[in-house]
Amino acid sequence: MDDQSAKTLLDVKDLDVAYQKLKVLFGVSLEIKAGEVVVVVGRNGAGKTTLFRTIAGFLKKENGSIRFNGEDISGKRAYEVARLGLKYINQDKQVFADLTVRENLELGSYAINDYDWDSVLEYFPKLKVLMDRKANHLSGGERQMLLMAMALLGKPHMVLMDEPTEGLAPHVITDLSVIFKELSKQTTLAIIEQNLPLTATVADRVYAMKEGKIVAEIRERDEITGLKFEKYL
Amino acid sequence: MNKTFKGIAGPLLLVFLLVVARFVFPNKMTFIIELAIFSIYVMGNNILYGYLGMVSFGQPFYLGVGAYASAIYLAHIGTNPIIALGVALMMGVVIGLIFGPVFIRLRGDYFALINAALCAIGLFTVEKLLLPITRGDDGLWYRSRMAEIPFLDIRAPENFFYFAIFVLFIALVLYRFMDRSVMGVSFRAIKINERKMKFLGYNTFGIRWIGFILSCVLSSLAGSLYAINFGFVNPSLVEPGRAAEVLVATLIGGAGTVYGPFFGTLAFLGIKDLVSKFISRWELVVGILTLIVLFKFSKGIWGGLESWSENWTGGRRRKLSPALSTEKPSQANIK
Amino acid sequence: MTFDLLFSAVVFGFSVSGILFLVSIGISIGFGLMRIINMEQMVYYTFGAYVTYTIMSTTGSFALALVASILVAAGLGFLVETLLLRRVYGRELMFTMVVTFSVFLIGIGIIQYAWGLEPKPVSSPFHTLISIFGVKMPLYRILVIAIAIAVFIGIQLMLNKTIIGKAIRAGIDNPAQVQGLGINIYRIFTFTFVIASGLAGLGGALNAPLTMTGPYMGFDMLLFAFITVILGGLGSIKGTLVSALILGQVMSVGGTIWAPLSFVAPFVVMFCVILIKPNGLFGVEAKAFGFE
Repeated sequence: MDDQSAKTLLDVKDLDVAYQKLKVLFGVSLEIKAGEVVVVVGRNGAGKTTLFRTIAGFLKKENGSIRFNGEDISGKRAYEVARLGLKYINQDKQVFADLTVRENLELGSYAINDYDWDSVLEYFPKLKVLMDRKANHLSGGERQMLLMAMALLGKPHMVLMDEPTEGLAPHVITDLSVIFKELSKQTTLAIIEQNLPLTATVADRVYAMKEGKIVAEIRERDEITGLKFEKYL
Repeated sequence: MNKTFKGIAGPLLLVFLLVVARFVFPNKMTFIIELAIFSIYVMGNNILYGYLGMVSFGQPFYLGVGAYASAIYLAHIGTNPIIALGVALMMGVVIGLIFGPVFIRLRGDYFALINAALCAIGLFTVEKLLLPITRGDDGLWYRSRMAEIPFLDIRAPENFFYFAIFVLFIALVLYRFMDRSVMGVSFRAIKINERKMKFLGYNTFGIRWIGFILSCVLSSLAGSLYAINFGFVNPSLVEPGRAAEVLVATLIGGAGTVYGPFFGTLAFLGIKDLVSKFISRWELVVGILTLIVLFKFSKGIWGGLESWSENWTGGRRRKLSPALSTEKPSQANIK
Repeated sequence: MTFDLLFSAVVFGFSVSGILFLVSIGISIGFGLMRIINMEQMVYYTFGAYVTYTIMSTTGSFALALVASILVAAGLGFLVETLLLRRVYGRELMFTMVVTFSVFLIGIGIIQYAWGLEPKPVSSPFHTLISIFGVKMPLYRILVIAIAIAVFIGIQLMLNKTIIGKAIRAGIDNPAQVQGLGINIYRIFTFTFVIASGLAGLGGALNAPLTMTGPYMGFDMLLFAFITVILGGLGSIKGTLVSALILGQVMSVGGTIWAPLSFVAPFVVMFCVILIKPNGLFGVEAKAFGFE
């Protein structure tokens, strides 16, 4: 997982992002290699979501570069980025409420033409019985699973997840951390988390963000499990 | 004393220039009169749009209220134009009081649409519904009934000119006063972030209601001046299609500023004057003009001048918000 | 009020509802999906009526006129959406309103240039009367009702059964997320807009024999379209339908009682409803655009 020869999947250099005149990201640089699980931690307002959303193509950058699989994606629209194999799961756990689980998955399959639901649903067997239920009748944990299933369609190279465990019950979080481990064998994961113990369990590397900047990058296993990065927040 | 002088210096200068212009260009007197009246109309819309951020596609209705109030008074009830003016102002207040609470509660798009609907209803009312009183499309004529008033016989255009200028002066002074008062600041603060104002304890509903009433009064005033000036009114004043005119003038001049309405009116009427010599399809021009102003000049003439002069003098005065929020929404940054 | 009079007023009302539904649905969906208020919907309506006039006066074929009107209206909608509206998505609602209103004015100007200022009467394709429950009624009005019903069913089918319909519903819910699945939501916007303008054109074509075809006909209809969407609630198809049904009856039956009511009554109804429900009967909240 920490293999130096693994190729760099996502390469962000000196990224500046602003809302109108208000700058929120200052020269952010990070690198994610194939097969890793990288977690970004930081307080509220540190800029983590802004960072992910800019990478995913929902926000425009002021300066800097974003390269995915060697390709410059900073000018691309969000749907183009998704089609390139970089998927983003929103923080607010919003599924398409009016549609059934099945229909949600149909939409996920449509643009990228991957209808192999079986391999995706292996990670989330619970969804198999919920196929015809309207998405707004799902619990928080089930919604997160649906969102992940939708994101995994098309076998993306990388999935960006924004606070996936927020608001979920502890046993659901435990289930999810197992799923993350399984997923990381197939897909590179970048996760924003405020749940530090979970971070310790799943992360190969941790970036700490504060006030729009990356203030630390932690690679050592024992520093991660010992939650040593807390001091940077 | 000094403060009062400062308060009237600007309007005084402007009005003085207009008087000078009237003598330098004697054949433009009607134009200047229209300029004065339309400016007041635009000032009314400016309070709604520029200060409070509420778009109305039905301003001709409120103009019509004032115009027809005065007209009906002069045609059927009395002969004194000043009283007619007063009647119009009163109607403006009444309309503002009645419609205010219902309309203000609506969110922006509904507010805009419902005003448009109101305008169409207004047109129908004066054109057909109240035919006996308003004489519908034939128009209501009462010039011969208008009586002379002491000091100035405003039935004569030359004299009306001074009257219109005088009213403009008063309106500008009060407008400027409003702009710098707590009320003006509150208006703009509400435009920026109403929720925050509520948290600070302001009754934003009441403040917006007051703004709405002020807007109605100014529009009615302008309508009344039209009525007195022309000596007749007809339903074309209330046409919904003309809702765009006042919006364009507001935008060109720079929304949310004191002199913006005047300069916007000047530009708008100037262009109209020029263009109508060549093109008779006025709607087309207004449409294109609006688009150009919206996309290219987000601050308008006066707003642009203001920020240019600010940058030049290095000062940061009490400017609270962009003159016109054609700037992208606070979440901005959209691809 | 005899039964005959009432019955024919009710049926008449349904035909009015049909037209209202056709021209208003575009404004409602435009808001629900793209968060814009497209005031220039009535341009497509007016073009629909004028194209019908031209085709009818040259070929006399109403069917051809209908098809041509829809195509012209949809084509214009396509142009406006791709050239202009693309640039204003995500901006303030007010901004787009003023922009689209300007387009409306420009459209009126173009029509005046192309067809002149005098009204162009369009005669009904057939004047047959049919008898329902013993009351004689113009078949044409029944046709209008039938077409409106067909359109409604068509829309429902599309939204519920086709993938693009589901994408539209998803887009109304959360446009950012739709993009996140790799779906080009801008194409969906264009598609929806083209359908909406095509429907407005159809409304104009169908209404041409029933009303005066003049350059300003769009203004009159704009008023009623606004009342329809405000009453029903912006963004709700069900709302537009219910609202159109109510207002059609109000205008028709009301107008039979006292002529001016057909104009004023809808406004009064809307006014009363928004006193209680400021967002209309089924209005959706104006959520933020999602591409932030």
